[in-house]
Amino acid sequence: MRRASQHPVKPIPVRAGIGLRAPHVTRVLAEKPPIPWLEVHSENYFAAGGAAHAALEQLRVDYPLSLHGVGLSLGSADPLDPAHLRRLRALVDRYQPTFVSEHLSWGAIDGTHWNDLLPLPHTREAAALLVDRIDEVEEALGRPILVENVSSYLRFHAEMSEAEFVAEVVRRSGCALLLDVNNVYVNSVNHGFDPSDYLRAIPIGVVAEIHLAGHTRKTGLPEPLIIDSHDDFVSAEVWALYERAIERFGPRPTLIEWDARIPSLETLIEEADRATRRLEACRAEFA
Amino acid sequence: MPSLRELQRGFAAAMAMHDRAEGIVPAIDGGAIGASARLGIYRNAIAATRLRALEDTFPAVLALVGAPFFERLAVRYSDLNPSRSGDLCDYGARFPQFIEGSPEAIEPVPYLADIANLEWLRQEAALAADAVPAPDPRWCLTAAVDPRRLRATLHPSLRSLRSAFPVFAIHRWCDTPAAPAPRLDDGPECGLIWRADGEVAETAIHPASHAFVEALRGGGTLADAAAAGESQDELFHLRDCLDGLLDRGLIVDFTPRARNP
Repeated sequence: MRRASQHPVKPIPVRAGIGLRAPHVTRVLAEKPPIPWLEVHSENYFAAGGAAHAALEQLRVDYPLSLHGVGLSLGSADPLDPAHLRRLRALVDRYQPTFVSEHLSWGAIDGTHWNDLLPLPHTREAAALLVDRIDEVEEALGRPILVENVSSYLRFHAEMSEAEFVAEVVRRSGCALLLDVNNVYVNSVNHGFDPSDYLRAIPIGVVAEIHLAGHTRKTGLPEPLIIDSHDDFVSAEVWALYERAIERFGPRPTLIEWDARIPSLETLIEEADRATRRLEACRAEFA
Repeated sequence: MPSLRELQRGFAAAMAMHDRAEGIVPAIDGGAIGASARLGIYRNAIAATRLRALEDTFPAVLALVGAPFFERLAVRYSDLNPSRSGDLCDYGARFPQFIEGSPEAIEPVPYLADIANLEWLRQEAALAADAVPAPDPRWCLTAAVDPRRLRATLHPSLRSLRSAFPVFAIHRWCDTPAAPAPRLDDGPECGLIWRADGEVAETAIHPASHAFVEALRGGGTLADAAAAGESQDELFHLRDCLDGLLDRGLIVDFTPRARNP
């Protein structure tokens, strides 16, 4: 049975929140630190009940909330998994998050799930499939979603650049973009393009949220390669690209993702504050 | 350029086996690093994700066999039991049966599959639906309805386990390895696993109580369940067993059995 949320939807402020992971849940619940907003992975709350839901019920009261999916496999040639979609709908109905997002990637074929954000070919066929799938998900959830550009370590021979591909999907679907600036930078190094060209290819007005994260630069390879490890501070290059992004798209709600070697809550909040200061400076310029 | 489905099938084949990458390689702009090495980054990431999912769900199995052997088990499990869900919480469901069928695992550690089963039941208990017990389910036991005609609604998180080994004692020992190790000749153990105040709890119980709970879980009346308990031990005491379940909030309600037409 679906349970409608008892709480009104809180707008997400144009400040930087954090991706809330298990090690920090107890402290955030107890201390209610002044974090502008929280994002959680949808699949971590797919269970029927238990401690995670009890925590999220309370967090939902105290903070604006975004649900970020990693397992829907939007870009698979397989049909969407109806059970996954039902569980996501139940979660959305229960918590009424401000944003619901997923990735422009695939993760399953012929019924086998690889539980990763795998790269799509930048082809018209893949773009058309994504547009149909986004429509299907929005229909099933009864609300719009955001879609995120992913990092990648290989690219297929393609009919268009990644930025053109992402722009085409958001233009044709009418879907807002969750622009992961770290992913743009990682891919620019891994595939040798200018990340500023990428930003210029994305239409103004489509970006609703921005992600920032740390990465790991590999050494000893015949060409540069960065792993999107989410295990460190945001790099100087990504901060610089972030400033260019908010200059182009305007200040947007921003999130710090840190999923491995998770630091103290204080460190995470400080990193989010760094992004908020940049947003405020940008807002002052826009005013 | 292959179709999207062909390309994804080729990619999946390369993830499953190193030597099946040749189908997808021509579609990749591999650069100086090369397509195979780039595919290897994904293969390693997927293996690490799956390993971490199993380690998180089966910490006692990991403690008992050690990390290198656990990783070998995880790789073989992954080959034989590909993930069928975008939610990794489901991934370990067949791990206990896989261990049961792995002689290299159960010959040195004969109780390993039962420990894995206990840990999977703990995962199920952690994720089961919430339920609030009726204000005082005991009233039914004193109401006009013959209590033996009642059915019990059990807490959705309640699981039960019967093992030929002292599996609950071994599991506790994995958590506190400084304590004296349990003796395998301590004999078989039955027990319950459930969730209380958000935490998973477990306790060993008498085989008669286990039979009673299993009968209730199967939809039997209190009379059916009491008979199951008495079949294990003629001294089985219905009220004591019921009170134990009620005190832990594991019976959330009673309903009278429908009369036969």
